[in-house]
Amino acid sequence: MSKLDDNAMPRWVRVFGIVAILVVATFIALHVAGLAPHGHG
Amino acid sequence: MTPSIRNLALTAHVTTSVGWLGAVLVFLVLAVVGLRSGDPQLARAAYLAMGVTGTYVIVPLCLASLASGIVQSLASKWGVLRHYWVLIKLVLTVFATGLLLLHTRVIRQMAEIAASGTLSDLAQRGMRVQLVFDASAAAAILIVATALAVYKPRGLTRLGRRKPSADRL
Repeated sequence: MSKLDDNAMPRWVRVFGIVAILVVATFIALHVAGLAPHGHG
Repeated sequence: MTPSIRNLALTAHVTTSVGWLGAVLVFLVLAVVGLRSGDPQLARAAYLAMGVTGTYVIVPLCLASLASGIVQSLASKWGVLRHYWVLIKLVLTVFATGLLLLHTRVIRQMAEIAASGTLSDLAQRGMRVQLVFDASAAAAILIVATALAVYKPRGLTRLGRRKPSADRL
């Protein structure tokens, strides 16, 4: 493995980050659309 | 830190973490029973059990898991911020802890409604659905955190690449 590869962010971290962003974005979109479960108040 | 104390700390972390996941899975089953059961007595019992489980099992295990995980990371070669898998596991645990502490009010509220005998199929539907959603999200997060701890995928953070690996305590 080259030095450049050692210094790069691993692919699994990128995939993990993208999935996390998608999940959070979906959750926000559902909230904005009023479709998310909401029990406060 | 001596190996025997390190093993004790690891045992405490594994026990509290796996216990937390197990308690959340039980909580999820109770939340589904409370939401879907046509038997009002069974639904009432489920929310009462959820109130007790949430307060006396899940919250203490969650805080113990977070604290023991930080101690374990600091006391081992892994560190808290050196490896991506440790860092991501910490972020997930902090997120799950925040989610739990934010929603303990809903759990308590539902348990109080169940205790007062005023549980209604329609009136508290939002809170009932939210409890299922929260428990599912928590279970998913904890399963991912457990998998990270088992597989320990490779990858050093910028800080980890700068500092040499050393058993610091």
